[in-house]
Amino acid sequence: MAKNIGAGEPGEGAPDATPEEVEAAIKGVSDADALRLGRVGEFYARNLAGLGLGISGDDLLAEAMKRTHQGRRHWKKKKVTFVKHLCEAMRSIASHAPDKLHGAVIVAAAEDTGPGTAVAIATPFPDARRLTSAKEQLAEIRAAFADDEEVGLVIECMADRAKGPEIQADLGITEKQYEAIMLRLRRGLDRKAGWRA
Amino acid sequence: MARVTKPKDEGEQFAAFMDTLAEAAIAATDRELIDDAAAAGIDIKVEGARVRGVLGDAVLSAKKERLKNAAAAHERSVAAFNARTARIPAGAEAQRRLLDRLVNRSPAMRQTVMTLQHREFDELSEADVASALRQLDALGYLDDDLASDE
Repeated sequence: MAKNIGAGEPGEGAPDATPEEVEAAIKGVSDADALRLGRVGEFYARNLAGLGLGISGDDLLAEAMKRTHQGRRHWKKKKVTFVKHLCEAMRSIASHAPDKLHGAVIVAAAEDTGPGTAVAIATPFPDARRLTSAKEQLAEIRAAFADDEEVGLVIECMADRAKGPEIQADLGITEKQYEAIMLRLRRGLDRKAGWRA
Repeated sequence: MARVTKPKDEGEQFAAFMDTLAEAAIAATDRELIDDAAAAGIDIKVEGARVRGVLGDAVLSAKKERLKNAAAAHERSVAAFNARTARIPAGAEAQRRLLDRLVNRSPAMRQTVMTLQHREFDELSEADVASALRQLDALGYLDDDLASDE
């Protein structure tokens, strides 16, 4: 799988980008990279669906951008591209979201609170709800590909934390075959599982 | 590449699955992303502009938050300054006595007061004295002196 997001030269003690540089970087985001950011945000946000906060991929992306502009997340311009930085920021924010809700008290969300407002918890047991949501989503995905054994096997490998080369080795398939299966998986998620309306 | 520990439950399985999809999207070629979007009927240009709009709106939000925080900090500063001002004795005579006590204790203070007010010490008006005391208080010079005055 070709990589087209390259890191810059490594730089020890590389300075952070200024807010002005962060803002200026938006103009340099290509349409393809915009698609990339949208997809990455969506994938990380789906994992938070069970928290009942209505956090979307756009919410994650906006939060990553806001924290970067505010200097709460540091973009080392010389070490990593802007897009890669935002992707990593989204991953980190999403991974910490459940921790922040541990033991949270239930409060009903008001009509005018936007998505991402961390008060709309509808259950005293956010972990249980998230697990239920994860089970349901996995079940839907498996059902969507019930007629495609190869994709089904790759899904199970991915759920087992295997990565591309490992999956290829486990299933005895070539890189080209793997890429063809991943293409069917991605397009199927969009079409069959309704991920992209 | 060695696998990390196996997921414990379906929550972790789903998380692992989504993480792998995200990693694949990060590493995908521009062509793959564009072709996938086109296959889903997405207008690439429109989506590109939309996502850049999300980024731009986030910057605006960050700036508004910064302004709001600065305004709040300023209010706290002013409130703190006003609270200190309220400690200075009210009457002109009491204020003059306080100032005299300060400068008699420390000759350097006399010079400081003249510098603050741009005036010879003996020429200080009532307003100058009040102003000097407020500034000295803000600088912390009155903390030991603000005992009650007659």
